[in-house]
Amino acid sequence: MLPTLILITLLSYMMMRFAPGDPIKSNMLSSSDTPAQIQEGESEAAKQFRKHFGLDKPWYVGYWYWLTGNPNIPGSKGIIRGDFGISITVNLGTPVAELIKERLPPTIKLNLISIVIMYLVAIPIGIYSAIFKDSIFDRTSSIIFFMLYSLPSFWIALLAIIVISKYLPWWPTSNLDPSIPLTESYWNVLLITARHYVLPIICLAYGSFTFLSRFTRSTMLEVIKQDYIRTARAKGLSNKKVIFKHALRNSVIPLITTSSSLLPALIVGSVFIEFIFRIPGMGMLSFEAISSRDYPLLMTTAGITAALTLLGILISDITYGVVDPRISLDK
Amino acid sequence: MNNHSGCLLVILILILALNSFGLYLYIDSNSRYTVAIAQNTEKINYLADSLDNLAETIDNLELSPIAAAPNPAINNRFVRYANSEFRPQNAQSGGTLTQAVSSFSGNMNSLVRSESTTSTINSACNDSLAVRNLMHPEVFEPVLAEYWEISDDGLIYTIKLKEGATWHPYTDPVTKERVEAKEVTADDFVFFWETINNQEVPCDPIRTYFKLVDTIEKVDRYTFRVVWQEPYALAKPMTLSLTPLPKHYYRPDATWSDSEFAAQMITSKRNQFLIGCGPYYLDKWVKGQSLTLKRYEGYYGLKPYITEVKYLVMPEPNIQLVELKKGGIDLMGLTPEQWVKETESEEFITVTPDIQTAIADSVAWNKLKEEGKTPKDYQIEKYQYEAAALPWFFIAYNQNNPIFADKNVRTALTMLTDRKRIMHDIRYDFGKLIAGPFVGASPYIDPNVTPLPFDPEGAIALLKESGWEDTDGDGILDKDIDGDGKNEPFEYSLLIPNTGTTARQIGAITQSDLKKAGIQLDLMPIEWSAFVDKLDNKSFAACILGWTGTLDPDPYQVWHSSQADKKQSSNFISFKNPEADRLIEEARRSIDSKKRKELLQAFYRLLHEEQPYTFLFNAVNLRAQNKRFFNNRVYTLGMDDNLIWIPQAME
Amino acid sequence: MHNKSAKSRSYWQNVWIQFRQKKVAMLSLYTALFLFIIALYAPFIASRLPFVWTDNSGVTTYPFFREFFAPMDSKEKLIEYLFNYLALAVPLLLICFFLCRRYARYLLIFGLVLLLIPFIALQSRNQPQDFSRLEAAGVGSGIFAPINYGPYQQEFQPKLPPNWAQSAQKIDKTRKGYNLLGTDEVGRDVLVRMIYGARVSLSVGFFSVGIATILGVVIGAIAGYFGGWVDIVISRIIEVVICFPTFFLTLTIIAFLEQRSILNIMLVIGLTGWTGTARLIRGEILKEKQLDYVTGAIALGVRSHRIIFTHILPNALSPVLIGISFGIAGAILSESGLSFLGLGVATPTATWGELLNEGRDSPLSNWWLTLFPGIAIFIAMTAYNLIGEGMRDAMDPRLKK
Repeated sequence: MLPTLILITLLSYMMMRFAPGDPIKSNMLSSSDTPAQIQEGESEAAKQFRKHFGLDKPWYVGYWYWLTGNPNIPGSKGIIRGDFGISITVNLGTPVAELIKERLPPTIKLNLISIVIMYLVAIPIGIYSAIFKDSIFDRTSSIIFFMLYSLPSFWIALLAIIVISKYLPWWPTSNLDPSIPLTESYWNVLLITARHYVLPIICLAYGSFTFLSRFTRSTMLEVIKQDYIRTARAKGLSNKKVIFKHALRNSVIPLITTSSSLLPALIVGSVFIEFIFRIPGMGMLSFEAISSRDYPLLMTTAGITAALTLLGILISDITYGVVDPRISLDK
Repeated sequence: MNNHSGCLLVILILILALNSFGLYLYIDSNSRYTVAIAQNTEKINYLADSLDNLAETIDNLELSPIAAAPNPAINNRFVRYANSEFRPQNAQSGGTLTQAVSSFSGNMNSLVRSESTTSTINSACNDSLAVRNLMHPEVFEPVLAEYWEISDDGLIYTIKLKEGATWHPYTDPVTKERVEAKEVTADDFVFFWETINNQEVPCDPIRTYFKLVDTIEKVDRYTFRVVWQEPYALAKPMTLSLTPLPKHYYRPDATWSDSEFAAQMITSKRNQFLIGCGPYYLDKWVKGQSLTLKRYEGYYGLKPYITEVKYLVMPEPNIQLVELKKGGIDLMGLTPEQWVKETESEEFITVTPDIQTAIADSVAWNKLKEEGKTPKDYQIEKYQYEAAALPWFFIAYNQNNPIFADKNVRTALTMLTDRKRIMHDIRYDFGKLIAGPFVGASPYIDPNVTPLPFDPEGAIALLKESGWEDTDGDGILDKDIDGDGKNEPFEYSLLIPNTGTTARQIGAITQSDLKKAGIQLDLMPIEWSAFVDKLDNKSFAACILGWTGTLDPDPYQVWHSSQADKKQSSNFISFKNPEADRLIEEARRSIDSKKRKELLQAFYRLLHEEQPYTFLFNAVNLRAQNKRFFNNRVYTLGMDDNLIWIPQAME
Repeated sequence: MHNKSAKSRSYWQNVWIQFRQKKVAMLSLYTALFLFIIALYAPFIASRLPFVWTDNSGVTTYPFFREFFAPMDSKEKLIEYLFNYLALAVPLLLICFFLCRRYARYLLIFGLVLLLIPFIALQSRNQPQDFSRLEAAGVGSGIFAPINYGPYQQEFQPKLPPNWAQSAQKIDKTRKGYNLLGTDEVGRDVLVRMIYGARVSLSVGFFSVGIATILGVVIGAIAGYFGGWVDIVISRIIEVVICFPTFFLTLTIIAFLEQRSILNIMLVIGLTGWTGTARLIRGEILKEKQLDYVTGAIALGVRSHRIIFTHILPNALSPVLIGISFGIAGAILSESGLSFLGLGVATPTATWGELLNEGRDSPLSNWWLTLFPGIAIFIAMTAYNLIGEGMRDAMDPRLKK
């Protein structure tokens, strides 16, 4: 796992350094929405910045600095000692760790709730459609889910904004942290905050219903076909009892293992949703980092994503091993 | 365990989870609640103070001619504090102005960061020696300076500071110590000079401006001298726009070596905060969301009326507009499309419908408003005006490219660009077509020069003259430009930034017009950092860009041939013209404004002749603002938020 | 050998029978076909050039066909050539198979080669004249397509709402079928751009998935068949690519691109999407390798690549096919997502995502730029997803009744 991680970070760093443009330039010149306006007289300053951040050295040295600390920056310790470095463009001079600490809460809040909702909606429907396989409910839910799956979330988000600002102008369409009037009660505070969460959460959640419910359905079907279920049925247990006591318990296990694959999504966030609803979360942070070539920040977000994905794979492997004794880990 | 208890357990856990989330939200908002109470008490304090302030204002107004410089001939006007003539007599203090900004730099050190938000906050929080009069921009009026004297050769500026100006008190971001207000002295200007002379501090944009300064030296506690190496036309505006740099803040430790100090200037935590000596201090900054300025009650000068200025980060203009209608923000810049299509309802009223009469219109409107004669049912006022710094746009042609080396070709390309249509279709006719590098009310525009007409036939004739003709019958012009005996088709690529919608639209329109004339244009939308890379290395054919025009332009950086072959220079098109060089150099040296005007007008004519750029248009400011603000006036220099006020009844 | 192929054909026939029973899947198939036909015959639906043009001096020219056989207006020449060729080749194919099955093979080859000739022989030419205006001015007369303007023509006022949503609108009499779905930011017709956009979006879907599938199958097959250290190395590479943040990878590759052409976008999407197929094929092959017929083939001394391609792969084909169908939907989504962020193809090329991007800045006043292209994306994606789902049901032996 560690070598993979090192390889990934090394490759990311290399690609980044070879990609055209660099943080210093995006730092010196600010872009704007209309044709870019340059300010006059930006010339040699870049050199000093470059020296300071060790970008005048070849990429492997830069990578080494990232690992072990940049001698030019006071207090830089490198990633191996837990120092993520200092942001160059997104927020010049701010430690990356601080930036991430700032941006993490909205992303986690949103994704956690949407994952919970995903499971709450998708699994019962999946189970139900497995039990009543090929029923009208099964078919229509499958079609509806596939249609939902085919709706690009950024499109739905835009449409939602159009419709809502036309017909429900008081409904919030951006930002997660409203400035709540002073005199509101507990329930009103909850209500106002909840309103801000509704749109982004819907847009985040609906696309994943399909995968989860189809997955639940197929594992459930598989379990129902197993011998022991047939035995239980043969024993004369009621259909309900068979399903809830035997089948459900066994088909939930694979679902738990798949949840480990959601781990990176929890932290990394969705660029599109954060972009459209203007949520200052991790997705926007990495997008800003990429487009302004903020190397230290970029390395951190890319590294975290990679590490979490790896961790997810590892966890699902382990849980598979625990759950299914046929797979042994020491093979 | 039976099924039911299992189900119950699941439900219980769910309820618990939901409730704990609710509780979290509640605690979250509760902490905000306490903050808000604290803010309210502060507000009450301010209200009490504002009465004093009012009295003081009146005092100051009456004071003005007496306290002028010992040598009255030096300050053109007998003003103690700039622009006080525009301060309304009946204004009340208090209230909050909330405005939207599209993004915020994370760094408030204006020496190392040149982003627009950084300089906005810095100019609100820090004072310069003098500023221009809002109606007569050629006149400088003192702010931090008491008076100034200029030697006869125009080389030595002696500046006396006002006594009693203080730096904001602050809590040091690094040591967490509370530092009380310190007086602003000549040392702070000397420190500024030392800092920009420290070659390891990356502040080149500013350094280049002060290249011609010989030294800044202290005379006594409140007096210092700025000595210029040679006569320079912009010496006066640049000297008077000097701002002090707080030494006790940026270099609190005397033992730091120069390079240690430079490193601190780049990455110190102190860049996350800002102290100045201006009318507002930085109160609270929630990164990526909002920034709050509060009025500095220990301010030495005339305090602005608004006691709190809030900036909210809202990158999308459509979201800003929704918030403006809801009352979430008070002020925003409109896009031309929003002005025309989305602010047509009765909620909006257009105060200055015409750019030519904007100043008079706004004065008349102010009068109506103070007398309470304005229509009652509107919420938001719309203003259009030209400001001091107007952005203007162009298509630049790399002169090193063999296609564009020919003046005829460049002229033809301009004639093939339907600028009227671009103005109409993209900018909804807000702005003006331009013919040269100076815009707005600049005196250096030669009024006899008009933009080239849109004339495809004339352009084709010009191209034919230069040898561009369709010889192989494919409908695309061709010519042998590299001398290998084979004709190359007329084809080039136009660089546009991938985020700019205006650039994309200009590109699309030009592309289709050029195609009709038999020229293939490829659009290359690329990321901003890669875009700059290409400009720096001059590895592009043409690009769409914009400059921001200033009142006192110095064309040296952009147009002088000494900048042409440098990498990373502003003259990225490698424009070289001996006549232009001569005009630029002479205009730089001449302090005489009349001669300078002649020279720069000649330069303007020359650039129009040469067409190194296809000059497109300049933008105007479009602003929408909540109606509760009074004294909204359009001045020659634009609008000024330091002079507006809110009646207490409308807060 | 012979026996096996007969068996496999019956397997596919079975699948087809299964598939045909599903109404939703069939409906999706028809929708996908419909989109494909629109993409193929886009120039016949909307073109600014007349099929036949006779000017007042009596000279007859065929501007449309010159553009058809030698595209000039579009920047994506390859796609134009391909679709234009297919537009003629597909009917030929159908005719050969339905009318004269006997000589089908010869006729087909002859016809296809014959069709190539005009594409090779004709030289492309810029034809900037506005024929509809000329006709209105009485300079000549011509026969036009149902919609007589093209996707690149800035014919109208910019950002006009759909004509049925407008209270009053000046209609240009020379224009048939004037902006049914509104116009875009420089006055190009949204409907026509969507019709031509189908070409680009569909080819992005097919080609990028093609690239991904070929890469995935080859790499997965190599890993699975050879095993040992080859497998270890390839598995590591796959792991690295999976863990690489896709978004970062895509944006960085795009930063390297000089020309923002559709081929590059296809490559980017293809190069980041092959890992799933590779893992799948590797797993299948590891499973199949244990089976008797492969061990038998190895024992007989059949060469390894032959074993992979003739024995193992056909058996692992069905999951790959399902993956392709879902992949096409995914690629259409990726392209529109990239364009939406301003990282897609450069103007003037029309894609559905690019139209969405144009509407992004002010969705409130330009709702038609958001609504209609989104519906097109939605329809295409639903069709391919449901086809994939239908195939999965039809091919899954476990779910068979």
